[in-house]
Amino acid sequence: MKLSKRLFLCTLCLLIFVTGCSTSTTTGDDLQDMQLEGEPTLTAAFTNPLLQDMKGIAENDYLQLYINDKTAEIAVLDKRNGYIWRSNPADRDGDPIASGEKKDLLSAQVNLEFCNEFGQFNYANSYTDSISYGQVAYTLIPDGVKVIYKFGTVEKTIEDLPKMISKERFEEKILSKIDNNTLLRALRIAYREDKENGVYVRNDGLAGLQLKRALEAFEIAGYTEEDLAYDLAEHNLAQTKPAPRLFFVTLEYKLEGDSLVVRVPVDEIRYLKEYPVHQISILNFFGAGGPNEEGALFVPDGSGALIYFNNGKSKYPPYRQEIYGMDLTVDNTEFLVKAEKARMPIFGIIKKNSALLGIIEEGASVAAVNADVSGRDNSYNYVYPSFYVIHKDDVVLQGEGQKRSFPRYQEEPMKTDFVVRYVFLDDKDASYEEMAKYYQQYLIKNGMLKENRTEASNDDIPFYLHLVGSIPTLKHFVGVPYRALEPLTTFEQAKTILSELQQAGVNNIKLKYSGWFNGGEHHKVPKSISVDGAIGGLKGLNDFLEYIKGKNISFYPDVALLRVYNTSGFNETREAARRLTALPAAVYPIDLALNRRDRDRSPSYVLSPRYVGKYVEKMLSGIARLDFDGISLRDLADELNSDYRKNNQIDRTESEKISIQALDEIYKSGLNIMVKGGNAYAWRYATDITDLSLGNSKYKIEDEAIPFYQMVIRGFIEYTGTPYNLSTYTNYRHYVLKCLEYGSNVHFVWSYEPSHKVKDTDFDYLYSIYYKEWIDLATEIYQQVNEALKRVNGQKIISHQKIEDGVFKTVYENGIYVIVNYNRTPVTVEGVRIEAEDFYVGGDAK
Amino acid sequence: MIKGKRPFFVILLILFISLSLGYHSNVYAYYAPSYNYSYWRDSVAAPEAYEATQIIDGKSLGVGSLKEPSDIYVLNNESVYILDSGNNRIIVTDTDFNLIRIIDSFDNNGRIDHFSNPQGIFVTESHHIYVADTDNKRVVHLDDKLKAVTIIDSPESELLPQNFEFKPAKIVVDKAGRIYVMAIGVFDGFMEFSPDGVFTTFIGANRVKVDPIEYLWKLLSTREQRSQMVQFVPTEFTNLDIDEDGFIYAVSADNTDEDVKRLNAQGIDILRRDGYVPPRGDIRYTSEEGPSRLIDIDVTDSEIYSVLDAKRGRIFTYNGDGYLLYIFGRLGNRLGEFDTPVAIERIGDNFLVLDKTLGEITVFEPTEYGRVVNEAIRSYYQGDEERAAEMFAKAVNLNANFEYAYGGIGKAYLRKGDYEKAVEYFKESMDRKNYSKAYILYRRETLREYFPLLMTILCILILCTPLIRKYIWRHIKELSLFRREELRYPLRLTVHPYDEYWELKYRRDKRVNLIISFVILALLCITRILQVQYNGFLVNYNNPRDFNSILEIVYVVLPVLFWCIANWSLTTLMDGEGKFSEIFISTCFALTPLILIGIPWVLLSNYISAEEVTFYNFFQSFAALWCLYLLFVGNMTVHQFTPSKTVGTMALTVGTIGFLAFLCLLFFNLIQQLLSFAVTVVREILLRF
Repeated sequence: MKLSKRLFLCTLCLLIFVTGCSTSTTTGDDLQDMQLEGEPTLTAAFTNPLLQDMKGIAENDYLQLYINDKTAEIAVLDKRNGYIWRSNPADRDGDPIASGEKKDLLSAQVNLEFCNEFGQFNYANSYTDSISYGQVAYTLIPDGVKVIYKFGTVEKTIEDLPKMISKERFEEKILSKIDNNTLLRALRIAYREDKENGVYVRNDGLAGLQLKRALEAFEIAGYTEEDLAYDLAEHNLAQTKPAPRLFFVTLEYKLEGDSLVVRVPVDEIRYLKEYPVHQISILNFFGAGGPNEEGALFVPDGSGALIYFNNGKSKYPPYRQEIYGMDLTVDNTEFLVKAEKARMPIFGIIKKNSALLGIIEEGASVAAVNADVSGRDNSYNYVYPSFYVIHKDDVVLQGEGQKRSFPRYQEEPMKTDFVVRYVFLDDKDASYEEMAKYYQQYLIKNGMLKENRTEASNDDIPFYLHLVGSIPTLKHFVGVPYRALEPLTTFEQAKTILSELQQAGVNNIKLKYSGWFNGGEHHKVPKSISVDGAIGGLKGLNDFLEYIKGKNISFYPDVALLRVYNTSGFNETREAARRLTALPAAVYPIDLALNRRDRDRSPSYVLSPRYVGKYVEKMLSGIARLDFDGISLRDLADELNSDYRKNNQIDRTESEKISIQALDEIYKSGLNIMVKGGNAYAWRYATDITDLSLGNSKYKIEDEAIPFYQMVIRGFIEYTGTPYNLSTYTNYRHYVLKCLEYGSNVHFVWSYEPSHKVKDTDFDYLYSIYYKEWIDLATEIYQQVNEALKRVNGQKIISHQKIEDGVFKTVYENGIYVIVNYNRTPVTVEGVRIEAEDFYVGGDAK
Repeated sequence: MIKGKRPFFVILLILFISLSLGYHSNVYAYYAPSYNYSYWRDSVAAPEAYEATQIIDGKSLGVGSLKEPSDIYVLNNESVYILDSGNNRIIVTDTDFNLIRIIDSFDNNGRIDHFSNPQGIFVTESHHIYVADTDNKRVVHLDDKLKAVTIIDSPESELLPQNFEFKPAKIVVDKAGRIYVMAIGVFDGFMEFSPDGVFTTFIGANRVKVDPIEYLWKLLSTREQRSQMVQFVPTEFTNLDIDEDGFIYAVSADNTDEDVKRLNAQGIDILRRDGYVPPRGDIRYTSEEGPSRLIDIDVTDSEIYSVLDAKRGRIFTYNGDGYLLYIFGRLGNRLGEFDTPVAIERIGDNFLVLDKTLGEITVFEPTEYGRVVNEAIRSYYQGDEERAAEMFAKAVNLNANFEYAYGGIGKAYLRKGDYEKAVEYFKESMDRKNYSKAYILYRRETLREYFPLLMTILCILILCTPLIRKYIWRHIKELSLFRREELRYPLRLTVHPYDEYWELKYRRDKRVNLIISFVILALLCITRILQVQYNGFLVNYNNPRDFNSILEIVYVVLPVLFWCIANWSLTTLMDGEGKFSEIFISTCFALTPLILIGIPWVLLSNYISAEEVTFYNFFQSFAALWCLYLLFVGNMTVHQFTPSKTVGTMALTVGTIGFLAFLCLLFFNLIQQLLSFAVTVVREILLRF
């Protein structure tokens, strides 16, 4: 049996080898023959003595754009304050830390990460692989310039030397024609005589200088391609030359008002099939802060965070976060990282008298923001975006104790250009507050932010209450298992909770109700909507809706649309998104002790974006007969996934469009939309955001958390953080203070049944949701927060400052400000004494 | 019979399908901040008990960066001693981390002396500092004016080998001034020194851990080979601490349940390990990563102690009984995460975690949950049960998955006399001992309540016995069901096996027998399932979440099948007269007692206390013995063997079963390999085309 198995394996391998060879064709020649389109130099339209090597090429009322046509570096002069922003640090040659490749990187504008023939990641940057060969061309475009880089050269490699050459031929054709001793020595190293067979055999370990010399010798000797072919044929050798690593990348710089727009057209990223471009990062060091400069990098971690220049934290890993979190069809990390997500596609640099705000306009969903401080690779502090072009995954084959992995690539590059808008802010605006304000105005102008909130400005602030309807559990009767819904809060019981809450003085309630249809918390796909009988059924729901009428309670039934938790009525093979490995994207639950995905338990599936529209439509028609005026979306604004189904791939940028389309559809149906998480693209549609980050992920490299997100959306969308009773705070006062500092509302998740109902179920993460235990504290917290925030209801945050460690001042649009003190000791700020863990509300409402 | 056949199979089919359905369990939609282990050793969600609030490093202390610090000591919740090993200095701060002084040299009899890569520090109430000055191979005892009192450099004793090299790493001092030193390369336990620095003895050696396979090899190998093998030596300790009563808490990274020890003056381990999981860090881990590597221990009041797992950067806190209270910390690059944690200490209830590579201390403060749990444990330890119960109730409200706390509430109810509630809570905390205690009282109470009623019914029954006999019992007896031979026959067989097995072999209709056998087998399966699902709490050790009816059926049917096949294959060689069907029938009939005794006990076991579990076990064993006896008689009759031959056959059958099982395992293994091969091939094909 063993033998037959081996035989079978061998034949199969052969088969695979043969077919594999026939299908892979090189397109190397096309790329090798491609010429750089454009001029090698530019003529200056104007010059500036401060920028001696640079040529001015575009100008408007705010800015001037300069370029150095030798190094392709650019500079932008802000006419308002004369500050010059450079794409590469001016004094980079004197950097004491950077060396080798890292030093070259300082001079590059583009850095590529590509996969080699073995599926390993390699890097190429525009300085080492393009500029140093002089392979760059320029074309002027209105208000800017287009820079085209060609990466890599067609160098000869060891495979241009024959593996074997007969004695006579070698002596006659090569040795006799060389009279240079160095080259002769190199040839002696390169070829060893095999006297027995009368041939010279190549030394395969040849590399570096010796290889270069051997190649030179062959060239001088006039050894041609035909000769090579002859030698190979003579000795029956097959020798294939690896394709050259060639890439073309285009960068378009364009001035638009007070900003510089940089575009990387994706169809002008040219690469060989053998070397797919995985990631591209641009202008890594644009505006980088020097070792003696003061300032901070702004990164979009959670609500936003600052990394101070030269904070000496290079012992920690650098900052990197993908915008909108991980793509679950790409995510292969076994480890769970409990970090906040980056939900805004922005980054920035704040210097003493000027600031730069980067807005990723196109390709945000495949972008990541990277930042690092001085001291690791170089002495600069820098932040830059990078974009995935082609995703890669590995298929691991295991058998007979052997393991092999094959790389699998996305079929086509992302279907979007990568566009980053760099906004330059002058002296008075050089702060994150102004950055937030600018971003807000920008969003409004582009129709990406809208005042959706439903509160009247003199109302009490909303109290966000999430009630869990029912959870599916597995029960047994005489050994026969059956799925049953364990009701945690029926509609009838919800009324009790609401009335108790209102009696306690909480009037404005926004109720998110999850686990109410199609089988509880982990409901079936919303093909049709059937209200769960376990919590009261349709009649219960209607009674409930009747009950809340006129009571200042808004109702948001919760629906999951992107993830499928209950596979009945769902076709995993057809409707689940696929990974690059061709497997359905199953998301396994985490085993907390192992901190890994537990593959013994059943997973949830990522719904292919292809079907999202259909399900949204069905869901909307399903709830049309129910008298809802709001809806809560569990995942539509929280996660974003691709589908790598063969020959029918949907990349993340397309998926983003689908999500936006879905939101639009729901919005048009007239429902108020409460979303969880709140990715930037949902701002246009959301009235409420829950589970918003109140702070950053606390990466050690970061120095400060700032309420940037809140500064952008406050006054447009109502928001709240994660439910207090399942969050980590050293005490409840800190939660109150956090709410005041971030202008956030209060949020709780409750059930009517005691929490021990979730013990020993898959919902044990709801370990503390019994409403009776929390209602008193919740009321107290609400009163405290309401008292302060009622006065600034619907007001924007116009300023946020750290006064000292643990003391923050938030100023609202109408002039009222809140100072919070997280410390264990009282502080005196602006002549006001603030007790330990207390706050002060000051200012007069305009 | 033929008519009844089809519905029976339909029901069977439906049953089977329904059993195989519904094995989906669901998914976390949200990740809990922390976890704990349940009674069933599963990881369950828990709230965070501690939150990291700040990082202290050399820069914030104003002393330049710390270089590979290896130990910290907190004295009386007043001052913090940081042993900055790489810089050979001690940094002393107050508890708010304001620098008090830096000790980088000391007065050694008038001469200025320095440390060299010190690894351990201990400070006494009188501010005397003890330093394990590792690379100088000595222990330095400084008084509060930094003058050397004693210096232990080359301990001498007949217990120590000639070329002994003293490399102290960790150190504690008890109230009497005795010094306990953990030295590198010493396998005999801690070195104990008298207050004036004289070596007295070793204390608390770890036991030798022997790998059985290696041991076997050792036995089989020659003396020369043996001398080249690794010697079995007890493992070293990794750290130690001392509590207020002078007990030494020791940790080793030995991967046994005894990794944490509490040593008394004689060096005997007196740690209680009554928790759901042994106090050794993680009990669930992947095979690549392996178990926790415990490298520091910190003991505080009320016998609460915490251990640090360097492998995953987690801190596990246990109470004196060995219950795991909470877990926090992890490796990573965010606040509250470490790179190479080496030491933990407490300031009051705040934790300090020292990171060697990063040279920083992370300060953790308790959350509401952490405070509640700490207070509950303390109150309970101090005997304030009322307060403890209140705190435990709070803990349960903050974390419904915290099983230990349910027990605490149960105890309060037990004391208050609310036995019903107590029973409920003890069950929730899987505390069988206390459950039984409460249950006896509850049962007595309930019985007392219903005693008059029960007695009345009993009296009436007794009084009416003749009437019942005459009118009702007769009717029951004459019910056609009970008169059916198919029912009566197996029952008769259990009491008169010799006669009835004879009948079975020679007189009875084989078809009917076969049907009865199948029914018995099915009933046994049901019994087994009922036992797993409905047996009383005290005798039921099955995790309801792992309950799988099909598996239970397999557990019943497979042994019976194996037995029959093994027996048949053996007896055909040994001139047995039994045919396979006969062996099968006789085996199935022999199983009847398991049903007869098993079923009533499913009910009864719900009403017993811990003492009465003996009865339960007795009856279970009785049933098994009875079954064995019937098997014996059956076998003898079916094959027409002598008793001794029967015993021999049965013993051999057991052996054959083992052999069969081995073959099956082999077969399945091969099939599995073949399958995985096929899967790989198919995947590769799919991948290529």
